[in-house]
Amino acid sequence: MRRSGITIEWMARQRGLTGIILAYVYAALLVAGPWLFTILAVFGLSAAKCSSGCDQLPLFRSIVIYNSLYALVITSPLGFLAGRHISDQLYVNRTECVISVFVTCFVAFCLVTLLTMVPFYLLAASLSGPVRVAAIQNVLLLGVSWLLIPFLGAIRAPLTLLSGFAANALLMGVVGALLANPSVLVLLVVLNGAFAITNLILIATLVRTFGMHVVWDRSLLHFPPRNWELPLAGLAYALGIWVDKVIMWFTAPSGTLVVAGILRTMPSYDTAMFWAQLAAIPALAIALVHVDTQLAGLFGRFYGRFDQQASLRELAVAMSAIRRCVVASVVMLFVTLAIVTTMSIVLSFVFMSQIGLRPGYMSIFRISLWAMVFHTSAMLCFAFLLYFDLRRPALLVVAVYAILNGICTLLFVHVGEGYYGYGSLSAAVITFLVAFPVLLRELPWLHYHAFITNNASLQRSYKRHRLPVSVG
Amino acid sequence: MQSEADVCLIVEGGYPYIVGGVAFWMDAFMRASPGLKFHVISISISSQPKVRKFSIPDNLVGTTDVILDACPAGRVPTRRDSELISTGVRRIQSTFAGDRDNGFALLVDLVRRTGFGQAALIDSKPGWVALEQVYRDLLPDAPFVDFFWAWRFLAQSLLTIISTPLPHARIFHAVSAGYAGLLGAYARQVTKRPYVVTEHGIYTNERRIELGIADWIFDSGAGGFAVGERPVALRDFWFNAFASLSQITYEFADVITTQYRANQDYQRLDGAPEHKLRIIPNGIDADVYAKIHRSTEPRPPTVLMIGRIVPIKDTRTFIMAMARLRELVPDVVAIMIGPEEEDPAYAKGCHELVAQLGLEATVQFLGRVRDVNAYLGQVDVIALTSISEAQPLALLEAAATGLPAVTTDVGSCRELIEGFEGDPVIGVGGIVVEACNPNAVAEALAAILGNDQMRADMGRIMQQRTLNLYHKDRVRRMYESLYASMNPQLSFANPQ
Repeated sequence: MRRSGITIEWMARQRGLTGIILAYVYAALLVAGPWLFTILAVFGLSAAKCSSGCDQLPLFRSIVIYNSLYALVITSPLGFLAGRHISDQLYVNRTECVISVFVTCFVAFCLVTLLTMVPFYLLAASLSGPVRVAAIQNVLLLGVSWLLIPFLGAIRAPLTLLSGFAANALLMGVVGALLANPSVLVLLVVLNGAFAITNLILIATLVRTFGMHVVWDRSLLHFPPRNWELPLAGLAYALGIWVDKVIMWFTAPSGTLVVAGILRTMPSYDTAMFWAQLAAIPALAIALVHVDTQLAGLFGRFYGRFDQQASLRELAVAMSAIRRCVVASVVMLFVTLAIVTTMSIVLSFVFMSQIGLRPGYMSIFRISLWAMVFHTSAMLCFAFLLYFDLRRPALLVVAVYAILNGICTLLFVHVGEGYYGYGSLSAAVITFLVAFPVLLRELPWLHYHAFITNNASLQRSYKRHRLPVSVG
Repeated sequence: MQSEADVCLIVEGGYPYIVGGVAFWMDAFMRASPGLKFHVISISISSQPKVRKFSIPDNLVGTTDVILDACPAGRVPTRRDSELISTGVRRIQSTFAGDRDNGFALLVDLVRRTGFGQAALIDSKPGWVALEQVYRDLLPDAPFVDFFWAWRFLAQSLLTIISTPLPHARIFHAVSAGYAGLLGAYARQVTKRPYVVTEHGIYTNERRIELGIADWIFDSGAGGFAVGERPVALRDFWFNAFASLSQITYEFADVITTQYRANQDYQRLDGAPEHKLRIIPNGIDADVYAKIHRSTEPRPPTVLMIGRIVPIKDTRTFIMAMARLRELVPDVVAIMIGPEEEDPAYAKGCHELVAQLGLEATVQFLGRVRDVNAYLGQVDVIALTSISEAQPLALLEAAATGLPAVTTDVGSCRELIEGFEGDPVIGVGGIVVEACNPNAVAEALAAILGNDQMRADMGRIMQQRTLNLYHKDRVRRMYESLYASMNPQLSFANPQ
């Protein structure tokens, strides 16, 4: 399968404007396709005609929000670990392990869900029996679909991934248009049906590629202890995204919404944050078009020089080009995000009602946009650090954000309604101020990391080099 | 607690795991000196099998395995260690550059003082910066990947050697230069106990041969089209490093012994001080071999070759010589005794060569046999086609039975066959030919096989010479008097 960067590069090199636009659209879909299509699907379903005020929608949205939170927090550690492991295994042509790794992750996710979300919905939430079952089904289906994302990414099947989620969105859009006064149960059943189709498409792709045979992968036992930073980074990443929202839901003195007895949300904060995060997508698409096309080539050249018996001076030249590309990418993304944010703030009065932003939400929206600028830039640094396999610095970045986002949100939530969002902004600014220097500090050491810290062939190579020891 | 050994023998890549000349020598040496207690330090790499090929003699009180590529991590460095790490790496560089500026002793001191190991001196960022500087100093245009691996292995092995826990021993005795010699030097530096090194073969020569034919070292390329400049030579870097090991060995050893005179010339060239040089030949149980009955039963003319089927023994030359010999002596039979598992590809090639030359009826591969002695009385001449040897025990044993020999001009073969200045036994016991020359080997063998009187005379001379000079009791007494002169506390319970 063709690497996504090659496709983008090919599109971007077309002389016509259409090709360039298509490259950006494709990159945007790669950056946030599953997320975008899921949101479109939920919006499509929420667009069902209601004659009596759609009183079931807040409960439906709350269940989906809680399930999304849970699924992201649990699947991210598994996904970070599994994605890296199968990438390594596929690199050495060990394809037989992919299905067994997926099955292991699936079983782990289901077990944790059975121990946590099943009691949550059965014992804590005030829901009818069928809705409880549908909610549990929903968290399982959402989680599995997100668990599949790193697997499809590792086998370079982005189009299949997008198709699966696009089919989901399309189906729910159509069903949403046909429904009238749907109950929360109907909404959940339709959502579950759509996600079941998505999961079937994605699993079928995996099975078609690797077969049904499950071979126990012994290396899976040794991988987590050696790469413990990856699941922690995944967990910290997911917690960082949600921790401020959860704190706001449960500690904000006003503006919260409680449904089913326990499902607390805060529409003003959640909506503003959601649109702010959505605003990052165009800039991320631009970054992906530029970064992925350049960096993959530069990195390939850097490693290619090893095989070409390059001297240290020649390696330093290749490394310097990577360093320039990375720094330029972070700066470009930051500037682009700042421009998008400024424009969004200036023009927000034009579209605020259309996207559900009430005047009271605007202060949070503006702060959230600036928080997004710093958070997204910091996460690009995080992505670069992971790309270079610098796991501990990467973990540091997301851990700093997760911890600070929690602490700062707690500090600001009681200062007053006018300061909602400042906690998240403070955390994002500090995290970026940590992440960028960390990245800058590590960039001159790429060859050191390639040779020493990330060199998986250190042991194997002794055999290859037939070490000279005399035989008496 | 382990009792103190009288002598700690240090061996690289051999006893008790690999069968070979030096390993047999060690086994025989320990058994011939029951009054001494020995400890053996065996140096190897992780991929070498660790299955003992020898039964352990009663006077071997302990063994220590040193795995060169299992370098101790040592203390985790802190930010304040940067300067010390840089100094440590510079001392590693000095050690491998002919022990410039007393680098080895200073490195030993630094490592013992700081607790540094691989984590600090090889895998840390300051270690990397220092490595880059070494690269710029030594081979600024060489392929960096190759330099990295070369440096990494050499530095790891050096740190492993100087982190080895040393046994309690009154004398340290390395049975080669190289890593064994380096470990002996380390023991000398740390314990201040006497240190003797015995070189069976000259380490630098063996490494030169090995590096010369090594296909894993990348040559050329880095010089590009700059034909005016000498190409970057990673091979030289490796060789200089190994030559440094010999220099350090010679510098720290109190006495340097070898088996024959030609070796001493090489040792002098490699910097061994004249006053440390001694000759102590290999010893065998000559009486036992002299008693082996030489069969007079009618048999076809028979040539024996004893040795591992490996390139350094040049078995292919022997096989090609047999093809020519069969033309000269049509009913000749060649018996080859020796293990084939060390280099299976080469051994397979030898079998194929026999088939290609149609020698299946002439050449017999017997592999490893239970009793080599049984064959010594059943053959007419022993042949040895090695491209490198020291003082081959197989040749001494065959000589003690009264067998004439045809050998290549390597190691002490000429000295054994033709004698030397001052040799009490006059006459030649065989024919010495140049290496890698199958025709010369075949013609020499044909001359001996075709002349009964010559064969008998040569056999007698070989036997006399062996009984006079290479008897194990004589050799044991030489070593015991050497040990006693180095450490008067040593007493020998069973002098003979």
